[in-house]
Amino acid sequence: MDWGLIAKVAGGGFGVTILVLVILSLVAWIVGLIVQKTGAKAKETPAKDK
Amino acid sequence: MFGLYETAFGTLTWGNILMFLIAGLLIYLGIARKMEPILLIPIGFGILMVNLPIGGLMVYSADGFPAEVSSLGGLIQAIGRGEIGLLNVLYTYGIESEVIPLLIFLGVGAMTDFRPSIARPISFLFGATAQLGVFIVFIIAYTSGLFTVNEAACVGIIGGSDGPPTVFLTAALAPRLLGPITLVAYSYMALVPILQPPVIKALTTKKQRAIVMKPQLRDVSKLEEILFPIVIFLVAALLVPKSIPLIGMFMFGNLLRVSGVTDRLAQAAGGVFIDVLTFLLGLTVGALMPASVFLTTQTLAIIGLAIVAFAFGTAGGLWAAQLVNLFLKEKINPMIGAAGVSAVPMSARVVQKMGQQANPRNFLLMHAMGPNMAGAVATSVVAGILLGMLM
Repeated sequence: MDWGLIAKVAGGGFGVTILVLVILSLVAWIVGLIVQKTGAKAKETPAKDK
Repeated sequence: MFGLYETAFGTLTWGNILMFLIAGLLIYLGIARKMEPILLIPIGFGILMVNLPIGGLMVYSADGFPAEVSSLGGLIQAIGRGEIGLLNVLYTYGIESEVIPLLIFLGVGAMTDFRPSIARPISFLFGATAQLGVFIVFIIAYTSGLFTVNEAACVGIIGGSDGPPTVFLTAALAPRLLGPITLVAYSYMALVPILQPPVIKALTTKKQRAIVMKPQLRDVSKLEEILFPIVIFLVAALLVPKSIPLIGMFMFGNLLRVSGVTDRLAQAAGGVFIDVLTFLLGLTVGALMPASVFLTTQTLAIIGLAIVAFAFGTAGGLWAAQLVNLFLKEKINPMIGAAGVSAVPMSARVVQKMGQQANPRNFLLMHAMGPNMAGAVATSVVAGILLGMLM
């Protein structure tokens, strides 16, 4: 039984999965934040022009 | 018959007859119980066809693998000579090449609404931790001595509860187990309403299950919806290159849906296109189950281990949600973490039903859909990670 391989695939694999998905959640959050902020600014700008 | 031609009666074995009964059960479940009918009916009929020994629709080589389709040029002659059958062609060009599972995932993407995941990005964490079952079962399967390391990984990914990544990974790492693994994966997905509630009840208190969440998630703009598949694909592809085929097809299908200018393509991809591919997948997978391949201790072990995978997947999502709750002022209902096992949309429906049982004012469906969709992304990432490690 290759315990090193088990640790690599199970431990490493699960760890990398969590890391990748956390990065994806951060990316989704940042993109949402940017889009919401730019959307809010775009709404404010024509109001100021008036 | 009367010395004129050969009947199949003399070549039938008890194994074939047992497989007929299994096929009958699958067809019954598909038709009478409406359990994944688009898959179980073709799988059942595929089993019938391949267990008639001299049928010739799927020809097997001596080592138990489907006979190789050498080249397109000699295809018709090879079929004529009985060296291969129609289903060998579908297997080689549809499944071994991984074309069919990837195109099915394109259709799944075209049907997927990611807005709940975009509105609550922490859903991705629950999707990730719900993959716990994949890795726990990998360890059990490998240490049992019944499976090689590649086979154990494919048994584990059943816990991701997502068909196309399961077929994709198994076709690449353990094609010999493609039949039983695909059958168990899709059958158990239909059994999520039975498998998940006992685990959820065992790991949560009634007070936790009764936590009410605001009925509405925040609005997601069209621009966010369009950017999501593009950005997620790019980042996931850079981090886990082996997941590019799966995530790429999934996100491309989703872009067709949300772009607003390719509605007809999205409807086609999520409609007849995916239905045809799914029944071709089912028929071919059924034909991968002659008695000699299916009736083994490995198949029995897969059936048992898949339950463990689902249980730990459910637990992984729940535990993550309970952990997150320690840091939140406005608590979330931890059951939404359990929907991270994917099985779209069944596990989200399970959470909705259990939430209402605990508190009739609870509407958790949209909250559970976020982890549910994130689970589909997570399983594709896991398939890519396992391919990268083991291929």
